[in-house]
Amino acid sequence: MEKGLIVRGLRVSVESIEILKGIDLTVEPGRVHALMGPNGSGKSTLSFALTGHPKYTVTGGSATLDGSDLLALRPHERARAGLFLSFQYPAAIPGVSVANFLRGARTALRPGDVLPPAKFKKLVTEKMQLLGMDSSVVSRYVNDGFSGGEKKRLEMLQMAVFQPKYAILDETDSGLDVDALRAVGESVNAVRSANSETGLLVITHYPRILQYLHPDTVHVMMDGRIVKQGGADLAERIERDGYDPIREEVAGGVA
Amino acid sequence: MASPDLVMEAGVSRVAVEGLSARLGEGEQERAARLAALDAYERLPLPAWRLSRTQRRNLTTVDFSRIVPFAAQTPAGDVADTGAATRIVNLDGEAISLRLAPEIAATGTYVAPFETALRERPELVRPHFGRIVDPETNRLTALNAALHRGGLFVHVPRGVELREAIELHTIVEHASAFPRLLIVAEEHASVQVLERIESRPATGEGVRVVCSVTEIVANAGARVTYAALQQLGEDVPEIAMRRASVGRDANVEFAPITLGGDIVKSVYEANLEGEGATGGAHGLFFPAGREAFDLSARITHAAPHTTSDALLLGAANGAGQAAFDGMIAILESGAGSLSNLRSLSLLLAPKAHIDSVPGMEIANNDVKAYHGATIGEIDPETLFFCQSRGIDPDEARRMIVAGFFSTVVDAIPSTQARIWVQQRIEAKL
Ligand SMILES: Nc1ncnc2c1ncn2[C@@H]1O[C@H](COP(=O)(O)OP(=O)(O)O)[C@@H](O)[C@H]1O
Ligand SMILES: [Mg+2]
Repeated sequence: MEKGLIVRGLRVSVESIEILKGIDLTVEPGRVHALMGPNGSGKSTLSFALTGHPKYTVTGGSATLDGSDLLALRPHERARAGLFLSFQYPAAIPGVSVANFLRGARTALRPGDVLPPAKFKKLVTEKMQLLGMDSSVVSRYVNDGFSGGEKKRLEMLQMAVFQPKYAILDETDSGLDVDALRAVGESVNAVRSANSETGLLVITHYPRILQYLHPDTVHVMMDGRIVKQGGADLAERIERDGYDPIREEVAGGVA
Repeated sequence: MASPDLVMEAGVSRVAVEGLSARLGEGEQERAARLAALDAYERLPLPAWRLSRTQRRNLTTVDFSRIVPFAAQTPAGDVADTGAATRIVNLDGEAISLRLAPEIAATGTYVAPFETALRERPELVRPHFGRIVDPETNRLTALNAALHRGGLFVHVPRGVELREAIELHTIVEHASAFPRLLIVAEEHASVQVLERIESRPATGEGVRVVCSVTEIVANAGARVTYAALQQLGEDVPEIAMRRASVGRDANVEFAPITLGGDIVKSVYEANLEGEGATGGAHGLFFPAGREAFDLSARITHAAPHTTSDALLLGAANGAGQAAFDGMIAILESGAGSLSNLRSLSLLLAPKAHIDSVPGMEIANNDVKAYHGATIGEIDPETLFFCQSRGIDPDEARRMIVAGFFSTVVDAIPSTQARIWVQQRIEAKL
């Protein structure tokens, strides 16, 4: 069995338009990969295809998680296999409290590790403090009337409570102020130090979150393809020069 | 209890009405009123049925000539205790359990099955009986007036504020039910009444119906909450008419919870008659299978500075259908009134159908009135979000639907009743 979140030649269509044109990417346990790229290049499409969103049709390639065929699993089974997505735009569940949702989801994800209510409450409170969240959030309805920043923190709270094997963070950093960004970075690192096996795919526009998460590899996606890979310095280069030089490089290579 | 006074024949007849009156030991006045109502029953039209898509079953397909008015058997008294401090349980028209909390009696509050009250305290009952809902409103209000039995009378004296809900539990087993409820709250009194209506599987031939009338009188400054929870079998039609008269600065809150029945025709009305009166309806409905509900709520602002707030949450599954007709009427006499009427509907299956038509009749310019209706399906993004957290799709739908109904369910004034409702909602998914 090959460990890791392994994507090979993945092609994905939305409403019969091909968006991803063959993606190869491996997130090893314990590693941090950053996925960068201009708006509309297909980053979120990759995260939805891997988590099994019904609107995204895989037309070719493979994706495995520690050896199990992700594409053969239904979305909730992929989550139970250990895959977590922090949504760019998380949905609201009116009438369902954060506390009940966290408890229900954690029970579904970790049926062998159901905590007694007091322990569970302690775990949630601890993680919320780390994220700088107000304790009243637990009795609010999931994402209902939440600000952008509150939604992102709640995504991170879920990651902290569920402790997934692999997490995709889809622009979790965008729309966060400096303090929120630091809290998110620290929370993700706390998950990683609790479980050094957690592999991360951090989708971002901006390298600033990478100050906290220190990527091992940076991938650049353009027009549904990974066009460039490199170390952390690649993110700094994008920060400085934008995507245009890379775009020209790629176009030059093709021509 | 089988009694020689009751003639066991199907249908609505003079013999049945006279037999019932004699069986209950009623005087000439009650007997005459019942016979007058029987006459009205034969003469008056059925109330309107507005669900156009329900060709198969509607009010006219209920065969009243075959209804079973009384039970031949003695009711078996095995009914789960809801733990309510004050509770009447009616099985096939017999009060099989009657419990009155000592605290309630100590306040001078009078609680009794309706006919007992009419016999014991006619001076409290007669001034209001049939005044809020005229028996001659339609064929079925007349039917209730002719055959009423079981039910509940509550009189709360001036200034008495009761904390615990008074419960009436009506169970239909061998026969139809015709409960009549009258709740009178004197000035600045406060009371909550929780009615629960259920049926057991049919045991014989004939049609079982539930045909009920509730009258509420809230005098100046009084507060009355009336929650009516029902779930009947798919072979039991229900027709209910509930109306409140709300006095100066008084408040009446309806919680209509409609969860099942062959067809359900249910009308809630609040007449805000005194200045500063407030009325509300916060309810839910959920037809599934082949159930068809025709529900209306009407709030009439007849006095200045009256306020109303209504929220109806409806879901439909299978081929379930519902029409919800919410109406706010602000009369010329209703200057300075405020009203808000909303309905949210959730369709859970392709053949499910909900018609929600909030309406307003406004005869005074100096008012603020808002109404809105939305209809939709479960948001696929919400469903996917839940699935991405390991929750399987069935459980996710249960969670989303429970959340949809939660504002109304959480307000039900009894934990036990809340759980009862939550379980029935889950069972309909
Ligand atoms: N659900 C969808 N419906 C229609 N088009 C979509 C959908 N998701 C993505 N796309 C299209 O796919 C392309 C890539 O989008 P996306 O994956 O969201 O990019 P990114 O996350 O990199 O900004 C865009 O052209 C977008 O319009
Ligand atoms: Mg995106």
